[in-house]
Amino acid sequence: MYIIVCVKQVKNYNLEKRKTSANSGSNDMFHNPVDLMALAWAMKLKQMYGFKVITISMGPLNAKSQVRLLYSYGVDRAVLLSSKTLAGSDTYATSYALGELIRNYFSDYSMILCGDKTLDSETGQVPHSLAMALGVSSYSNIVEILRKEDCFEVTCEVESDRVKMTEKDKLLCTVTQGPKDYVNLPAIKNIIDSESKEVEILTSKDLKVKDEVVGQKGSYTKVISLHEKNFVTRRKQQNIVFSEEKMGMLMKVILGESL
Amino acid sequence: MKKLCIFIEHKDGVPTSNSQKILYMAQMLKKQYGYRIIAIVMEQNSESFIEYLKTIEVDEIYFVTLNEKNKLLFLKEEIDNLVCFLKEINPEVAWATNSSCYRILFPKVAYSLHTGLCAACSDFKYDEDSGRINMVRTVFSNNAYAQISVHRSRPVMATILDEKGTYNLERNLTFPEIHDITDRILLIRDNQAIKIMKELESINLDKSQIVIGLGNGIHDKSDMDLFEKLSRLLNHAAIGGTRELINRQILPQNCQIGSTGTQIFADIYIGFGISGSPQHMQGIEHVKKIIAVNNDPYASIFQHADYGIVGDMYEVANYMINYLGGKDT
Repeated sequence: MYIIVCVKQVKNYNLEKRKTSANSGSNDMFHNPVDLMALAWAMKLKQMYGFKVITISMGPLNAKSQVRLLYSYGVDRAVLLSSKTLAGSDTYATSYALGELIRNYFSDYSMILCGDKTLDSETGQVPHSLAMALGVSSYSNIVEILRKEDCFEVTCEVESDRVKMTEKDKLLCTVTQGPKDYVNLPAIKNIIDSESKEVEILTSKDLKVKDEVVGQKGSYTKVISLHEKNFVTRRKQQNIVFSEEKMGMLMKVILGESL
Repeated sequence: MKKLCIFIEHKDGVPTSNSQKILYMAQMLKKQYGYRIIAIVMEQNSESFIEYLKTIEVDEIYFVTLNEKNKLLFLKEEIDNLVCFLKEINPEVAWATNSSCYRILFPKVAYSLHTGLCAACSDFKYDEDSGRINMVRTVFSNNAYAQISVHRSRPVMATILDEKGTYNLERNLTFPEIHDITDRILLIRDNQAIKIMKELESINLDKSQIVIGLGNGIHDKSDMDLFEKLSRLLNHAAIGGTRELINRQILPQNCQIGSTGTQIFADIYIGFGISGSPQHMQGIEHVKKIIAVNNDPYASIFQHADYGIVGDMYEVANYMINYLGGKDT
């Protein structure tokens, strides 16, 4: 009985801009924040019902030390799928690779948890495509997860409604926030233990699929051009430093016509 | 003839602004490159919307009448049915609104069709050499535009970002064919498994004329009282905030303003304690007047604001409350 949590290591683009040398290491990466919230849900379920928690990540090999840090949150196994042939995967190829990884090695899972989207690409497509790749139902915006008689009872917010579902089969849930009244911080003992734990590395060969169906070759979309976006600078006048006199004048200008 | 499927939505029989944009983009493709427009409506109570669609330039209309529970969650078999239907139609392009329904449905459909999907696109480009449609969207935290090609599969799938514009849609010249495909797509459900609970308090961030935006400068959830008071004095301005405040559980999820939350189109936006990350700025770029309050004179929001106030957000909020006739808190 275990729960899989997908955790992406995203790149710090600003940091990259500032760097002059090419010594980019795992310090340039951090866990996608909302994926850590998915992990918090998993750890809460572990505490309540005794599930084991496995994290899976896909990325370059230098993400390994970041992935190792996941042990400090109390996860039981941390897996990194890393291979040059997987580089340049679009959302389809990523979902396919993760799907094959889960199908081949972790098919006895009870639930998969993901953050709703990543900070770097913000498409929010991978979790739902992954659910399709594995043939399971997926639910978004989860606000409560309970286990009742071999079923999951999940409550999610859909537009302006709150919907409760009972799911007998395996399922995938995406979250936008952590569980209420539960914080999952790294424990000192786990931080120390994490140093001696090894991240399990798997490559595209372990997926038992042809190279043509993963990575850039297996992708259906490609970026053909990029250009910088210019923000509109509206600035018409200097900032005012807060004082009652200046504010009075500004309030009339700002709100005069509207109120 | 190349076909273009558009999945559009309505509110009380009127197309949403997101749907109007898609209809407008579709009519451009038809006019310039001869695409056949196939409108697909999957909604509750769509009769008057379909009547409306008959009056504008679309070639075929397919509709699925949903009930309350279908609308919320499509079952896997229903998605398979939709995929079969799309395979038969065999469109060159398929676009949908960027609503929560299609943001979930489209990745599933694209995966099953083994094709590429571009999320939250703002525009398209027609490649004259290949005769293909490429999609345009912002990437790298809203810092750049990318043109994305779906190069080896069909259809080119995309969800289209709402820009709340006004679009002059072409009136129809021929009467469109109309097909009811409800029975083909939907299953009869065991409704026991789904329970709908009370409606959440709806927040009209995107419709409010004045929006108060809160950032990480806020200390504690109890401070919300101050800004709620200000909101009441500003004709019940909507209150939204940055992702950090959602993560800190100071504001609920549907209050998030930005690229991953709601885009706002207010007349006035007052940002308290907001630094101005590109993601947040994307959410407020269509606001007519931006007022920024921050104690850091170098906060990047000041570059994009019409008025900048350097000062403590609490002092400024209290001043505004006093000015507007409320008592100091």
